[in-house]
Amino acid sequence: MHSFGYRLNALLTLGVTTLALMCAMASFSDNFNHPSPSANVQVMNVNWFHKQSSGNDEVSLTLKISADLQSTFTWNTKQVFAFLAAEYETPGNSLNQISLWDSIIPSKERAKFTIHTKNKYRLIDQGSNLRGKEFNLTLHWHVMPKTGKMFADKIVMTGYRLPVDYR
Amino acid sequence: MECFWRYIRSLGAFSSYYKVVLREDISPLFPRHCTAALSPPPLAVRPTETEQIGLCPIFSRFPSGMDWQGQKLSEQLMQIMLVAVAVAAYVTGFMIESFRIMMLIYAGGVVLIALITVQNWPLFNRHPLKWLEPSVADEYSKEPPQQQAAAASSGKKKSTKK
Repeated sequence: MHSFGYRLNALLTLGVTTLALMCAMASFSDNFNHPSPSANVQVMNVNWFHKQSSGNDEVSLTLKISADLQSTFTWNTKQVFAFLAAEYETPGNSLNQISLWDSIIPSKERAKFTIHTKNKYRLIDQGSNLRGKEFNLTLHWHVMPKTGKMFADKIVMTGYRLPVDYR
Repeated sequence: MECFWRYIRSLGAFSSYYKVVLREDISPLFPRHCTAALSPPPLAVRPTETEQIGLCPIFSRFPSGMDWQGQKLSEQLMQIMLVAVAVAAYVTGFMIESFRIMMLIYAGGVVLIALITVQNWPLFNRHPLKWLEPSVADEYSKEPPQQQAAAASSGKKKSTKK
């Protein structure tokens, strides 16, 4: 504490260290949040379903996605990234996951929503396995914090099936 | 050439200044119960104006502007206030569920602490060191460095006579 600069340095160093500790504690407090989200997806329509010239199947869907992710938000949450994936099994791959739609939810108020949309990203198979295929639609979400650890979870919705013939 | 030797002598004077400044019995870290056994400290020989400027202009006064007790008070105040501000900010932010409020309270608290503890306010200068009179100091500074120890001890004898 010998000079102005020395004291300023000491204060700033201790200040930054304490700030790091506060942020760690804020992140730790996220563990005490037990979210109870819900989601529901309906396939409103199969717009088209064909085999591309490259030999891969492609399908276009219209989806109605409704979800309530409000309980995943804490005081340390910056945004929640949610995406919907179609999951199915083929002879070639034990698990195929294809992202159909995603969204960034910036605040708690916008976390409860219902949207009616065509799939944002194309559902293209590796091969020609989609006819009559049973698949799951899984809503994944990543809770992105202001500081610290990111939490990720999902809801699996089963029971969807693609048409047997091309349209 | 004469300036060169003046410079060398002034270094000697400066070293005795530092020896006094670092003495354990006037340091805040030295336990109080041990000071009784020590003899009173020799009074410091303050470097003259020319020697001070020759060495470094900013040492024209005690570098920090605070005395020892003041430095200790400043450090303690800084540490305690910082922890208190951090706890207050976290608890408030947690209760209101606002990360932003936590950051604002903390930043404001740090600025407040900087204003209070970093600047050398008079309250940090309530126990200043006692310097010798200038005329006596001049006598000491004119002697060569190797006789500084003898001069310091004779200075001690002078003070005990009083």
